[in-house]
Amino acid sequence: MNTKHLFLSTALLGAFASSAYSQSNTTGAVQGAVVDSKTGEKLPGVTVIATSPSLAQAQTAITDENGGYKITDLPPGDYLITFYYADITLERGGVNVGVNKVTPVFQKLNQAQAGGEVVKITDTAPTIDPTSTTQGITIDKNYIKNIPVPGRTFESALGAAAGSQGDQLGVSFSGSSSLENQYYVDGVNTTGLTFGTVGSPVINDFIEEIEVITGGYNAEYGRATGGVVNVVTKSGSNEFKGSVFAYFQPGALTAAAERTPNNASSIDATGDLAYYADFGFELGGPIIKDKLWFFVGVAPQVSKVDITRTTKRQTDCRKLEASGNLSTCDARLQAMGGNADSVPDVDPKTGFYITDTLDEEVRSRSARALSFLGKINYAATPENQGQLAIQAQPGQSESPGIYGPATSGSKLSGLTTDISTKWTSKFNDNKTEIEAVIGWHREKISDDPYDPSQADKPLQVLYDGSLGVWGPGFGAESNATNEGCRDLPPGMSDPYPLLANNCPMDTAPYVIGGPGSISNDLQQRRAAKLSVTQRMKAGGSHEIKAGIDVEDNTSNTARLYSGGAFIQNYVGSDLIRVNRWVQLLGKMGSPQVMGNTDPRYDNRCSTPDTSGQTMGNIQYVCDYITGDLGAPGTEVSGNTLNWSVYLRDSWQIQPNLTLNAGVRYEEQRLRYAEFLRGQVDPLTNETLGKNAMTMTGMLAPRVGILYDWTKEGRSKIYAHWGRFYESIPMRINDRSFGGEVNFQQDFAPSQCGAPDPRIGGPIGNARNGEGCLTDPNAVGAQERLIGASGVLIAPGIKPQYMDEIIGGFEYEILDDLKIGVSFQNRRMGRVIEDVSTDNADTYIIANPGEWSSDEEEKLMDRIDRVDPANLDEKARLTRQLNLFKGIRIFDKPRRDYNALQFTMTRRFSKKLYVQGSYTFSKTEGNYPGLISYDNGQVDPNISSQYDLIELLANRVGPLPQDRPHYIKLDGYYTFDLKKAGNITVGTRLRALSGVPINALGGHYLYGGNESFLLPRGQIGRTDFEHSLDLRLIYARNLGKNMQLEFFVDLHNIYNRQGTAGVDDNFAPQFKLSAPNSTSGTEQNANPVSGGTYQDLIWVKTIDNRGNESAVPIGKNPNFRNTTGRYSPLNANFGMRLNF
Amino acid sequence: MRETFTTPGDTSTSSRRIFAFGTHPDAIDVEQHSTQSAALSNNGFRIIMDELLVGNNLEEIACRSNVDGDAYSRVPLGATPDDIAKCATAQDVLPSTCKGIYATCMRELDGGCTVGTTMIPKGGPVGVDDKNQDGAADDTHLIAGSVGIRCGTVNVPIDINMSYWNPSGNQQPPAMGGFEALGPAIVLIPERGLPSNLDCSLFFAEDVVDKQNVRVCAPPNGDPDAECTPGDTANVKFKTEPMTFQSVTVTNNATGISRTEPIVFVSNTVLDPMAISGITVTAGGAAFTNFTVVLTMGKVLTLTPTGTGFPPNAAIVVTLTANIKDGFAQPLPTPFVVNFMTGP
Repeated sequence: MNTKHLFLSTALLGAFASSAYSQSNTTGAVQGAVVDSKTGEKLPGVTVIATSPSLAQAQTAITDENGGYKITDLPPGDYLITFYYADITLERGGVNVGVNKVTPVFQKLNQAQAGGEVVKITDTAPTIDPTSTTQGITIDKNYIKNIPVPGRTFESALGAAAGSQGDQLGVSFSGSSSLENQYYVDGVNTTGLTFGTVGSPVINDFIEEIEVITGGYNAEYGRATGGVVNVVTKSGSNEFKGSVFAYFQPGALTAAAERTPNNASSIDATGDLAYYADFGFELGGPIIKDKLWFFVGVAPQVSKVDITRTTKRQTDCRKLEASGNLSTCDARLQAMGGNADSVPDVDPKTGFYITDTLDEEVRSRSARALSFLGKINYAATPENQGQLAIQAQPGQSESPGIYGPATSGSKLSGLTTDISTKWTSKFNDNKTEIEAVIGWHREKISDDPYDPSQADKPLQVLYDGSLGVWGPGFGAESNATNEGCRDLPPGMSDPYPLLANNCPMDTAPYVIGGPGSISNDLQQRRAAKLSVTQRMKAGGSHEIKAGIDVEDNTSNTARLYSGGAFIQNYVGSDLIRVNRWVQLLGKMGSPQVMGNTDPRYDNRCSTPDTSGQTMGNIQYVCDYITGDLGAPGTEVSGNTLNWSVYLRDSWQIQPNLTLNAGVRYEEQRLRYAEFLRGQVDPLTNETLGKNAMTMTGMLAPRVGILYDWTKEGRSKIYAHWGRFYESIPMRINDRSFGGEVNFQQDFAPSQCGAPDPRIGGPIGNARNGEGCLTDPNAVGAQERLIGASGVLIAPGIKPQYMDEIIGGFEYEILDDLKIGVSFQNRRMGRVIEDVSTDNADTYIIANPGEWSSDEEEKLMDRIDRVDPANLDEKARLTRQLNLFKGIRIFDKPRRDYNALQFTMTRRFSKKLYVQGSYTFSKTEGNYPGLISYDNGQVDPNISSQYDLIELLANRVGPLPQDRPHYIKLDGYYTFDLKKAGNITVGTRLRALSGVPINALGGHYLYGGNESFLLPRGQIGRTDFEHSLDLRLIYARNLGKNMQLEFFVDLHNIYNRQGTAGVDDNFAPQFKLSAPNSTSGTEQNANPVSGGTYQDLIWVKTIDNRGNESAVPIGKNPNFRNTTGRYSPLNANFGMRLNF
Repeated sequence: MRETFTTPGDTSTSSRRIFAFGTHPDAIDVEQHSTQSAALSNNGFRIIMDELLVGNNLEEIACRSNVDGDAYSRVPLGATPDDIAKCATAQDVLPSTCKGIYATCMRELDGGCTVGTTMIPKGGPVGVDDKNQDGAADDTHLIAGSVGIRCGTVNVPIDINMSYWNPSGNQQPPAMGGFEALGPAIVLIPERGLPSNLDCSLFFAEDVVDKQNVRVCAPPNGDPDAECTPGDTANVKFKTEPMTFQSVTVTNNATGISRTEPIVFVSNTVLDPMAISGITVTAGGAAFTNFTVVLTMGKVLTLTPTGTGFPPNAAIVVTLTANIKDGFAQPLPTPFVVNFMTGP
């Protein structure tokens, strides 16, 4: 489904979106066996006790007849494991337990040892979890503290995982898009409800540990086809511990961001951080020792980014000299010995226009937020414990308009709240464990106009005109800019009088008016989960876990444009396109219309009849959705119900051989907006029930096997296969199940009132698009309802899933040093996307490329059973049958990820920590995932990727997340300065392949960047990029329990501002006009299947009605130029007082 | 292409789109039968290829000045849009940017030329015509003789400005744009229609090849899976409709016709004004010569009786003979006769 002007607003929303879903994966375990050191005899009855500052009360286990034991529910941290056998006591310290990890602690015990002696073992426990096939990384608080991660919240550390990379909305793992991840904070799922983004960006100082699972996850985990991120925050203990911290990133210590000049605009914008600062405290301790603990953390954050707007003017004063260099500027006419020739000067080396800088203005984006975390832990007994956690994140931001008046910006405010309770009980000598979690999540976001006076103005974007007209017209530019852009005859103040347009604004828009799409959204998730774990003996030892969870998600979102419309004004082409959200009552003359008494349905919406039943247009009675929020049609309520059950067994056949097998079953019920239920859809004539789409049969088996050839937990060779289902984010509820209909009208300027000199145009007769709105029933030269026949659900639609195979080994080649090699294959099995088999008239949410013959027969039977006299119903169903059959001609979505990973981890010991990885991977196919990276659309499962058959060509190739080579190396070393304290040096190296470059064109219905003119990646790839970060920490003890730290970060120390993205738009949807004319026309183009770059010279244009012509397409002057760069060298510093 | 057809029981003719060669799964029956008779005018040919051709041998781009015989220039093989952009830039930097083996719009004629105020010597770049300065050529046209239609021995003149090669499009069942969006395709627009009553075929110049340097050929029945010999396009053949007169202002065997009103015949094709002869009129069986014949708009023959007009109450027979020829010297295949009775 295509509504691209929603993109910007959705991206903003994503920054504040969050969600909650409870699942406890906040602890780890130790497991092992105790044997006699001389005879190898297995020793039953050994008491094993785990103690740690992280642990409220000691946890105990008794070895079984095989000498085996396992202690679970251990919060992450360093432990002392004590073994008591007869009168022998063995203590083994430094055992690190990670989230969702089993640390092997195998112990040999000398029964001849003298009684009463306490033996302290300094040998470290292995770091390899011999019971798990999960791939990923555990990031502890020391990593976060000592490695220069590029941010202050947990997402900034996720890039440490092999096979991960940043995408536009988060961090993606193993070839998936970031919206396919699930994020848990303290067992609560904080994955964004609307899109699947990070919901609650916890500040690093509150974090105890992060577990990043990039593949091979067990049956406890579901609803993800990307990665799973488990964040465990700090908790209170029997000691009062905490810190006060401050972090500051001044703009003065940030290198200037390199400009990315746009050859199709007279405004360049470059963002430089002015400052970022946060400060706060975190404190944990006992309320009642051994019973009740608290943790609280508060951290306000402020930031400001200065956007430098540089206005520029093309020049006409240089010529090429015999030396091959350009001359100096001489703006006199050629007849007078100068170089003016009426053609703008171009740098022959770069292809960029040579410009004069007219003025620079700084507009600032500012943000304020607060992170709050409160937690109470209660231990009734060591076996019965509970937790109550509250997390809140209020925030506000202000963003002025950049490419136009500042007043076109917006102000955003949001509040995310998570509340969760968890209870864990152990019975039966700890062999049985029950855990219950209840969570509630609420996220609220709203926006206001940057300038209240613009609240009722429509957002209008102007294309292909002159800054020399728009600048003074709308009063948003300085005198220097306005004067510099004036086009005057020779002899006056214009230095380049032969240039018809000194300051062209070509394909980059100039934005005026109000904020556009209005947000006032509230999403909530109420979740409950119960799991039971049973350990038992039967042919080895089993740990069987079964669980169930339910979540009820609701969404209330706004659907309103400021001023009631969004306007695209193609000044150079004499076309004004008005987009509105409308609510349809029914076709003219239909029973719904005839019986209507609601006065708000006083508009008409016309659209071409593509059914062939009439030669002209179909007229609907409709309501233009406008007014204030709360007015009818301006709010949409959605609802999705998810539930799942799972059962898995971790069967330790031998102490060094484990078989993990599990199965998970999920269902998802996506419901129509409440106001639609029980209604007859005026488009499809379907009676809408409660559930729009019911996803059942999501049976996800998982199986893995591991073998530890060292029998000490120092190795594992493993393999895993699993199936993973997607959880559809709620964006689809808002758009597809909320009755959204977009009405698009193309007006000739003459239909929109008198010429507006502020807009001018090449020959001065352009109109302001607001004039098109004056008459509420004005008829456009061309009109179209997008989705004019509504949204259908393909009968028998099946859930989206991915299959994964992993194989590899890990080996601790030296104490503290492990290496690993693994292969990972991920393959999409099925995808849910909307398709249109009748030229964007009807959208069908379907599995592209497949529709079962059983469903076809069922529908044919239904048609046969229709009363022969009911011709309308028969025709309706027959039409649907033909539409559904068309689903099969669409290409099946494909995304294949194959990766070979080499990892190395040297855990912290002897003052040194190192971890690194090299990943060689390919991510190919025609389906990037839930983000349409190519056109920026964020509409999971209803993107435009599969909407039209002609848009599918050339989509197969290296996907946007394809980075064949990725090297990561992190480490830190601590220098002990004795009494003077210590210094820690941390580094972070990243080196990675560039991204594939495409050549995109416009589609006459869908707009720019929708048509893959050439096969994906045909244009090549951006440069290989690399950067190095450095952190220096000086720490000094101020007393027994107090330490003061100062630290400095240097990111991108050699200031390589490499290319992060380029302009892929080869042919803008509207061809530029020649100077002093309105010759620009719509120039869409179909793909050149299997073509090469050379072929683009010959591609012909398609007009705004889909007709091909003999005219060749134009070119975007900015094609393949850099649009985004990696951050420049920057320094930031901070302090922390630990106590 | 389009064909002219008549419906049984209805003498009027209509035209419709057809697949003259090969078929398409989504074409309805009437669109994919054998050609009845190809329309002589208003006929465009969309030749849908099953693979990409080298466009450089099919089309030329427009330059700022004459480079050879006209202001269109071939683009060197291997040139990309970037090379075009380098030759579409400002005239003063052109010698620096528009050079090398992929440079285009190079002046080939002796004597040089002037572009704006700049003198371009032979061998120098005149620049790609790019009025909107977007880095792409504003215009292209088909290379004369690269693709053509041959009817009998007649090479049908092609409107090279309206005809084009378009590498884009797809061969999936049509969505937006229908069959007219299928591609890659060569669109051929005859400059002045087709010659009448001849067997026609397509021909391609030797250098019209695909990316593997293989010439175009036409498999039997347009089956893309069938083999064909490179360069052999004999399987593409159709016959044009014979010359006839679609309308006459006097209905055959009508009575009471005015003695002085002109009789207007409209041909189905453009007639050769030099071949408007052999028209005979008899009145009551006797030769009648008091008339003039004028050809207007290429297709409209107006026979006007002079003096007092036709005799009253006479049986008039007007016969148009094979002396009348179309613009390609193809004659009227059978005499066209109109009988009527004049009034008093």
